[in-house]
Amino acid sequence: MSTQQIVTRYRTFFSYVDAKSPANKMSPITKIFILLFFNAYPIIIDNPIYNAMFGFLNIILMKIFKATLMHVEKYFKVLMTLALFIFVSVIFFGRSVAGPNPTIIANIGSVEVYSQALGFGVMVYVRMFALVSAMLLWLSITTTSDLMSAFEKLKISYVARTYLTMAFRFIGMFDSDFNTIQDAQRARGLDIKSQPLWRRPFVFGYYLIPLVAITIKKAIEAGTTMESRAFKAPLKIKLLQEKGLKQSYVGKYYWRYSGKDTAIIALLIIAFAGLLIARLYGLVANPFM
Amino acid sequence: MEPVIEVENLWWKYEQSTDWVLKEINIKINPGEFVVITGPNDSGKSSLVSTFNGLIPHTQRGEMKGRVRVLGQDIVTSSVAALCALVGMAFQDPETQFLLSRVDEEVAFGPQNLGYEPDEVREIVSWALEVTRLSELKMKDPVELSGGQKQRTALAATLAMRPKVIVLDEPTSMLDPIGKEEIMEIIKSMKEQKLVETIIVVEHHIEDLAQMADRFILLKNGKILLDEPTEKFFSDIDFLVENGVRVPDVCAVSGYLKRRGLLGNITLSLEDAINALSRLFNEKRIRPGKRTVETKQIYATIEDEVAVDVSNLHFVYPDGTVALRGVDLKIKKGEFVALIGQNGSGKTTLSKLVAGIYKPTLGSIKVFGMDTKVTPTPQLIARVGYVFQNPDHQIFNDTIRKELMFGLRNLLSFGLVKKEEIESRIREAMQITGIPEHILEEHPFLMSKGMRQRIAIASVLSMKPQVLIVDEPTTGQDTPQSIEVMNFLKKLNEMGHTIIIITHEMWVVAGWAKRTIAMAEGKILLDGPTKEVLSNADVLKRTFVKPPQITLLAQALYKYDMPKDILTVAEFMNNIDMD
Repeated sequence: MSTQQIVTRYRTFFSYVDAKSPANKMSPITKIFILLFFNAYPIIIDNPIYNAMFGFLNIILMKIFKATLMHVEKYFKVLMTLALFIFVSVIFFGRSVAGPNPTIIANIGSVEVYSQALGFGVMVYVRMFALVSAMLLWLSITTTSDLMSAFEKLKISYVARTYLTMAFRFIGMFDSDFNTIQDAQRARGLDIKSQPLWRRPFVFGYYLIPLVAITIKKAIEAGTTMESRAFKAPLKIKLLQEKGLKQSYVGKYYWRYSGKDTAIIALLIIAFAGLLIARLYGLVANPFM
Repeated sequence: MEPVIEVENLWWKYEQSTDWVLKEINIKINPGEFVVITGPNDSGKSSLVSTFNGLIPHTQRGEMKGRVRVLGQDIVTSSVAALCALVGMAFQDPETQFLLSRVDEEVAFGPQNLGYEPDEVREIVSWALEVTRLSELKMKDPVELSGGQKQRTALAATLAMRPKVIVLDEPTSMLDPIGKEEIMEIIKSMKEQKLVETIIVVEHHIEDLAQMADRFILLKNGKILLDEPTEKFFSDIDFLVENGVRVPDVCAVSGYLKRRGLLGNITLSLEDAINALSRLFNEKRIRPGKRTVETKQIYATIEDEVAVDVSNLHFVYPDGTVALRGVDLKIKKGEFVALIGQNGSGKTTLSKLVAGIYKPTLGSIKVFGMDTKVTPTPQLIARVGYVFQNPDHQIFNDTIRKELMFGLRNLLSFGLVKKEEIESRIREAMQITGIPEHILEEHPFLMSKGMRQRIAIASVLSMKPQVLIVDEPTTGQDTPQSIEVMNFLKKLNEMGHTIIIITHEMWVVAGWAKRTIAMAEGKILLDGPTKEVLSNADVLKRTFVKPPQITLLAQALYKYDMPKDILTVAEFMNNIDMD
């Protein structure tokens, strides 16, 4: 009989992370810096090669941080569909992004295909890939306790940090409702996989309407629960908390910070400054345009 | 003694409604009381209890007349936050009550808002988790827990605010049998250990509560019809049944015997009923009858043709969860089958595989000879319809007509239905489901939940599936509505449709299903006529399903020659002869 090793995992916003992951040793503040830097990088960088490398680095980091990848794989599949739309757009409507001296590389009937437009398409797509992978990495290693305690240290108000954390938390809940809705529509003969590619964006409406309706209903119920749990308790308590005179349960028991965090944050700040300088000198421009 | 809650001539109307939801309500609830508020859907139960912590009138717009005082505080002049410290409230759906992603943080949310210091919060959280038996799960995400554990988390979060009064609004209606039992145990310990001074429960399922509560209030159409101590409340069974209350089986039996002058009191618990009836048997005032009830219900003739043929079926979800482990099953055309078992036993997965929504990992499913693995979805759904538990997961059109046409349009695009047939099929589905003509152009989201469920069924039914699978047909419905839905499914069965229901309600299984399949851990544990399956208490224990109360009563009286496989009160009474 085989024996199974029990692995303790923590639920993150989007997935799970192994309890022994290096991500769990990081301070919540460091994770906020990771969020900011990793999302700024693809926006500052135009060169698709650097962005592609950065995207793959994020996936490698997910492995290193022992995040469960199963939940995030499908989002990369969605990116493949997105690639198709971007390239169809730049092939057929690429003139506006091809610059003043476009180079025609092919003709499809009366449509001229420009190399600069394709280069633009590559840049946009790879930037999306880098941004999505960065966000998925962050959502896969960050818990609600991390975000709540980091915001508390950053003196963000109790009301704002609760709403922000809940907003991130609802991302995972969307996911489960979306799957049920897909199954329910499939039971009435609507299967997105059997639809031609051009029809898929329209079919999404059949999923989105019930998804929005259910989300609004859940949001109202969550709001009622918050009221019932005294979220609008006397303002005085919240003011005390915001002035740091009163710590929260999460802030007191889940806060961590070490010298390594200082080193990582310093590195991220230096890297950010470096990126800005590189952009200023044109070192990260798109070579395909 | 000053009442904890005092309602004086209360009237309430929501801004968008024309009728008063609550009419002339007068209640006094004293400290230490355990009160159950019951009644059909839309009778105003939830609206009434929402006034106890000020959610009405502070978070809902509407018109209010009369006065509600909670521990002397007028709800109009007090804030919700102030009233929350006095009255804790847990709702029906535990999933929509979770704000944070760890059990302990969820429980800490309320006391933290009330201004407790972190160390105090830690102590309270630890206490609340201990009394709800969740200490070992404190690091878990509440969303990942079982139904019972989720609702226990919601109870812990409410208890952690240390309220004087706790209000539980249908806390078991969305739970499986084991979840219901867990919550009932917690409620019992709340009362016995005095974890909270006053308990108020809103509930349709009153079988277990009848043994615990001090007082019952029956609400209908916004009015109080009955407000009595528990025993007196159950003294007029016919009145309760007329007003949509599903009376516990032992109350119905003892009520009948009381009317015949054989019993002095109504029995509220199974133990009391066993003792009372044993005494009557011993005194020879009642005797086992020779009759067995004749099944007058007409069902479809079960044909030899196999509708569903499942062979060595295994299914593993993409995340590695093994849901089915070698299921073999044959369902013939015209059968009425119930799938039972606790959440995670594989019932829903099996049904979705039969409907072709999922494809088998290993093994095969044939529906009227069509292999679901290779048959395109539209062809399959023309033969197998699947109605989801929550109609809101599938409704998206802006009129009911378009909603009913949706499935047919998909079939049309694959040439599986003719265009000229569409209108007649819609009419037929409307007629069977009782959807009136004049609402066809209305928005489905504006309809009541019962009507939305009918629309969902009709939209599947219009595709004329020969096999209809309905997931939890009675969830969220009161007793009269549940009976209506089940009779409607029976009518479809009489018309020749094969019906498969997934349910946790044993009285529904006992009343309508001819065959029952009990599942546990991805396997079939029992499969046979409903009478045989529901009377096999030993094996059912492994599925965490409790047989109906009347079956347990009959089995306990086996030594007096009562049959072990009785499923309904009528059947039980038919097996007793009396002076």
